[in-house]
Amino acid sequence: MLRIESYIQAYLALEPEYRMGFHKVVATLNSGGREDGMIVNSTVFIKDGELPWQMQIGWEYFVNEAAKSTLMVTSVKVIPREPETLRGVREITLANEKFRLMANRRLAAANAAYGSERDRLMTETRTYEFSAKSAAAEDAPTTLSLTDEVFKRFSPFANDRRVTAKMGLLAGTFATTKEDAEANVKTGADAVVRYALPSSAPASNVFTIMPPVDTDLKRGTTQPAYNQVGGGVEVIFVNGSPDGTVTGPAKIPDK
Amino acid sequence: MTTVHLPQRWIEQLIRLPESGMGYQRVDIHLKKGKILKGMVVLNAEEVQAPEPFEPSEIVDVQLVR
Repeated sequence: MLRIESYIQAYLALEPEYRMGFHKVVATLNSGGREDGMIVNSTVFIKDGELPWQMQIGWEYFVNEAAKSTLMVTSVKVIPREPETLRGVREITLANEKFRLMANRRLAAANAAYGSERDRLMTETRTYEFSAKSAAAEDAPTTLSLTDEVFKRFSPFANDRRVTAKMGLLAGTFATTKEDAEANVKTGADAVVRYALPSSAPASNVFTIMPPVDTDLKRGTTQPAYNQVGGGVEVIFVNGSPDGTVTGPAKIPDK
Repeated sequence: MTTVHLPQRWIEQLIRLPESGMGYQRVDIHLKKGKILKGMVVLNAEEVQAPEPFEPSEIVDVQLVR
């Protein structure tokens, strides 16, 4: 088990996890060697097959013991989760891929151009590259909901004003996928972190949305904000969701 | 940070506008005498998280910002 550089911690905070609580990586060490393994909680690297007994004692002890090693991780290649295992993540990957293709096209055009035209194309390339790296739902193209797709919405308010009296959603309302919610949010405090909510009040009221197929949606990743790392799947109901498609709220623990 | 409750008129305006994130909107609040509170967070279309208290009746406009 090894500690990792702080800039890698910051980088991992923006990368989707492989499974809840860890990233699968190929790590480069300060010795120059490379190891396959995982980084737990964006903090400690454990190589494949290693089962450190220190983890059983407690997190703080585990981190302190890892810090004692002279070896450390200086760079990582994150291994993405298999797309078929999480529907919401697959959609984001597709959205990001579009921007990546646009960036590549602009770069090819820029390499064949001169002067101000080249400058313009390079600027566009950088813009698309940025979008490919971090596509918030707000900036994403509109897509359609799938058959039987389910979404969740977390709120500190039981009387959420985005939920209509007839249990629909107003246009422009944010939610997340059921998959993202179930894998990552067990408490209202978890929701504050994962969806970068501005209020520290726990979002412990959970609404379930089951829209009809082909409902207009935008999908993306929650960007870091309000001192929260974000990283959750975010979905915007562009035109809302019809009456009778929302249930709840169910109550989850605050912390 | 202080919480200011919006009058019903502004709540009704905000619920017709899209959210900025799950459960909140970012707005500029225009007050009488030309003062503008920029980039305020409004929770649930009703609670403004403001750096200092202000009188809700002083509001002359609320505009959504990105």
